[in-house]
Formats: sequence, structure tokens, C-alpha cells
Amino acid sequence: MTKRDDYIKLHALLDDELDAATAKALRAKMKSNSKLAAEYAVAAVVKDKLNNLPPSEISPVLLNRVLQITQSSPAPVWNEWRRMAASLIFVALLSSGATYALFGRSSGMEIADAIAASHRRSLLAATPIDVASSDSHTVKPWLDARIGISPPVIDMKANGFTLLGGRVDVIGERTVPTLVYQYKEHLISVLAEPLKSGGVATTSPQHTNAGGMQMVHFNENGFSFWAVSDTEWVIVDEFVRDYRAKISAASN
Amino acid sequence: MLRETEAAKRFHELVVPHLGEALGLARWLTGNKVDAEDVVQESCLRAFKAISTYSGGSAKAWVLSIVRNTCFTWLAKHRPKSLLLTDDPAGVEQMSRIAGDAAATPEAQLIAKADTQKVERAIFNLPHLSREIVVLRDINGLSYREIAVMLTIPIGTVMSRLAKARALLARELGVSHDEA
Repeated sequence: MTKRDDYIKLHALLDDELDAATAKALRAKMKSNSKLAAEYAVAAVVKDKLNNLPPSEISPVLLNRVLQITQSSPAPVWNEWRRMAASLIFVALLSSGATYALFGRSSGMEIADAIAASHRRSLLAATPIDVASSDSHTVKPWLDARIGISPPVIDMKANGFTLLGGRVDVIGERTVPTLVYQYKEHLISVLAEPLKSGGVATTSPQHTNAGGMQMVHFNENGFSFWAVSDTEWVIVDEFVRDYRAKISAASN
Repeated sequence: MLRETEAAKRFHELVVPHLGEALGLARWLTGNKVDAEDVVQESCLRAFKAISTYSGGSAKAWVLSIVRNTCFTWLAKHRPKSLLLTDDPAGVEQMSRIAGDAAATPEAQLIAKADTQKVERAIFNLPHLSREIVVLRDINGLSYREIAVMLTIPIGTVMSRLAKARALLARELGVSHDEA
């Protein structure tokens, strides 16, 4: 490795783009070469400054221009305008990573499809969560403050499901708090909505598959839950079983 | 060919979540927000027409790749002088002067005091190739492989360009060994 190579590879090390062996060798070199270590520190400061720049905001006018592209009819009907309005809110909150289902009221799309789309969209977004915390005492008040709904946020770490955080989804015309858990490389979104009056307090899990996602719906402790994931059924079932048991235990 | 409603749905899922990043990239490459918005609109039109060709992988990289290509076409048409795409030092020096001129846009003139503004000014002053690589990596967060595919250059070139771009920024921002 030439000296120039070392300086170039410092940046790859900073970006976590080096293989383990090269990274280890370079770190060892930095310990004995203060100039190399200083260059690394300078690069880290520069990278940090760029990382901290505020994101670009999409103006409603631009969003309107972009959404017009997908409009098939030249004169949008009422539903189209409503969809556009929902989209405006959607992009206004994009910078916080919020994801929304825009399709809940279009052409008879079922709620399951909307939830599956919401989960899939969260996987495609820069981050699947708006508030990142494995602490249920952080996520719950955040959701409460944001939309006035505080679903039971259960610590499932002992069961192998790590709480990553929460986000707000819009399903149909309703804002719904969503918790995000991780199991290995898969994410499980849990949408929780307060039961309407007259709703059955506890129902057994019902399985649905929509948009390639495994989904389980159940009512528990005054909330209607949807667990959705692209992982195997057996994992989702295990998650739901443990999750229900914990909610039930927490409420007693 | 996808049905129109299906195409619109995929557009919302694949493209709309990355509009902010698309605008950011377009702004850094064109030098101002008004042009960037035109580029984003044109990019979205291209993305919508090509939505059936998206075949998995990072949607963000796919969208940004379209934005980058649209910027390229746009710059070639409106500001051909700014597209001096070379790693040659003499060319880069000339490029820096052009970039300096481009920075005198009304938007760039507002850039003055705060640290954010200093950083933005420094990015705008970079030669095109350096600006492009550092924005794709440190602002858009693409991996070296994604950048290499997008720019059709080897990963080694991504690494050397990035090292050079960050060194230029460090100098422009006055980040020294002592400060770090």
C-alpha cells in the first residue's frame, strides 16, 4: 500500500466501506502515524458538517407539479383533490421520515392493502421510524404528543424482538401510531388504533396476506392491532402471541 | 406496461418518498433552487414513464440516478461551460473559477454567516466532479457501489474523488488538524 493509497483509504474507513482486514491494518497504521490519524480526524469533521446540513424542503407548489404527472384525467375529480391534499401533508412531513398511506380512499382499496403499502413504503424510505428509541418510555409519550394516542409500547427484547422506535402512519383518513420492531434483518410494524365504542375488546388473531406482506389483526386491551411484516408467518405468529401476552399481563 | 393506476401507485411508493433528496441533489448540481425544481419535475416525469423498468434495489439510488442524468442534460443545454468533466488539475482549476461565478447567483449571495451557510458555500465552490461525489455520499448517503454504478466509474475512482473532494472542503472550511 503506497502512502497516497493510505490517505484515500482513510475516507473509505470513515465510510465503513473497507473490508475488515484492510480496515484493521489501516487502524493499526494510524496508531503509529499521527499525520494519518490527524487526516482521518479532519475528514470526519468535514463529513459530519455535511451530514448535519438541513434537508431540502419540497414546496407545495413543486409537489403539486410532481403529482400532476400521475394524474390521468386533466380535470381532477373531488377524490383526486382529496388525495392530493393528503399527499401534501405527506411530503410536508417527509423530512421527519413520516410515511403515509395515500391510497386508503381510492378505488376501493382495502385497509389491509393500505397498511401493507405503508409498511412497504417505510422499508423504502430513508428510515422506517420517526422517533428512534428502544425505550418504550420515550416512544409512548412521543406518539401521545404527536397525535394524542398512546398505544401500549411493549419491550419485547427478551423475546428476540428489538423495539426500534415509532412513526405515524395515515391509513385512509386516520392518523395511526405505529411501533417498529426488528427481528434479525426483518422489521415488524405494529399499527395500533383505539377501538371504536362497541368494538370487541379481545379477538383472536386473523391472518391476511396483502401486497406480499404477512399481516395479523387482533383486538386487545381496548386497541385494534395490525402486525405486518415481510418475514415468515411463524415469526409474525410468535411475535403476536408474545405481544398479546405482554399487553394482557401489563393491563392486569 | 403497467396499468395507469398501478404506475401511479408505484410512483408514490418509489419516487415520492425521495423527493426531498432529489431536490437536494438537483440544487447542488444546478446551483440554485428554481432550476433544481425544474430538474426535479422533469426527473419525475422521466421516472414515471420508466417506472415499469424499476427492478428492485435501492429506490433512492434509482431516483437519484435519474435526477443526476436529468441535471446533466439540463446543464449541457443551459450551462455547457459548467460541465467540464475532468479530473485533470488544470481543468479543475478552470472549473473552480466557473463554479465561483456560478456561486454569485441570488441564492448563493444569501449564503453568508452561519456554519450551515459556510458549508453550503464551500460545497457550491467545489468543482463539479468533487461536488457531485461528496453530495451523493455525504448528503444523499449512497454507498460507494451505488455511486460507482450511477457514475459508471470504478470504486477506486469513487474513493480517490471523494478523498480529494473532502480535502478541498477541509481547506475551504479551514478545518485543520488542530481543530479536528
